[in-house]
Amino acid sequence: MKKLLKTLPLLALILLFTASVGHAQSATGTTSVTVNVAAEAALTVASPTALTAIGSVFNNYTGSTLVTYFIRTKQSTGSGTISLQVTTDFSPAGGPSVGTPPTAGDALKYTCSGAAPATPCTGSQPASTGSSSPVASFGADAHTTTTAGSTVTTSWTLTNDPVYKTGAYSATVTFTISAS
Amino acid sequence: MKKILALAAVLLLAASAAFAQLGTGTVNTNLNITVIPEAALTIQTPNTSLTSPGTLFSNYTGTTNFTYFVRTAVSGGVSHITLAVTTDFAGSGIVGPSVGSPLDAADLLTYVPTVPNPSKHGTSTVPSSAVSAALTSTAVTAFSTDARTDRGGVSSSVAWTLVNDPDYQTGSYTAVVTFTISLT
Repeated sequence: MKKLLKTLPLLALILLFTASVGHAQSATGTTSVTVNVAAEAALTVASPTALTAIGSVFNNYTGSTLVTYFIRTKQSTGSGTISLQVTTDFSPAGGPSVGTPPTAGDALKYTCSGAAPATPCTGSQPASTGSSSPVASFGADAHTTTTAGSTVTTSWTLTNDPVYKTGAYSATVTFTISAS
Repeated sequence: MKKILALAAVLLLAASAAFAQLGTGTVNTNLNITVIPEAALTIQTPNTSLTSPGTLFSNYTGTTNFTYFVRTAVSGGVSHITLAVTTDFAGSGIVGPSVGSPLDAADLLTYVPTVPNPSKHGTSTVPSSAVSAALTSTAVTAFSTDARTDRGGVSSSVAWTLVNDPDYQTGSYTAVVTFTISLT
């Protein structure tokens, strides 16, 4: 009996301690939410672009393409570019051609325009099927500031060579944006 | 005679005492307990990462897992889980995501809770659509009266979405979200 009386308080203490450890929960808990914002870029292009000639004296064909872009470059070492390439030459045959123009000097060229954060290309640029050509460049910490994006415009000029057969011709131009 | 009476009294007392020590009678005691409403939770994801595929400015997404334990009153008692962004996003860039002062009104941190019903009894009612997180408490779920889980609790989660605004500067940003379970 005496031994039991001596043991009981110790046993009660052990039971209480076990109960408290078994339910280590609380009314609140926290989580740290972390996001790594990286360089990124995207663009959309209005299609198709119609090239038209004014008058009937073989004025060059002209037209423009509006490029809407979204970009974010790294804060201190970042950069970005928009470029284009004629990925499918004019077809059908018998008309203009970027890769093999029917007459030396027949060319598809373009100029660039646009506001910050883009730095548009300068001067008249020749379009090519063999390599990409510049449209715009971006520096460090460049980012579009609206959810609608920003824009650059390429204004096209295509030689109106009388040797072209009459008809409709179509080429595909691919715009590429990159950011780092 | 007096001595005999005294002796008899002593003998009687000794007999009764002896009977109390050596008898086999039973004694009852009542153990009384009052079960009161209680609620608790644990967070299984102390660090929640929001990630994006990295193309076309797809939104950042991630999930926080937690377990809740609840016992509400049989009548008249309910319980709620809420969360609040107790520390807004801060990081290596000056211009980044923010719950309290977003760069654009559409730059939201939203969440969709998944909180199953208590395992033993009662219901859990989550918001019917995604909730915009805020610096003040917003709803995760509400438990009914007589809601009870088992000892293992009920696994639940919150799925996050953060708008990927191109205007954020590159870098890592962290906010702290506090979950609270309460009884009323």
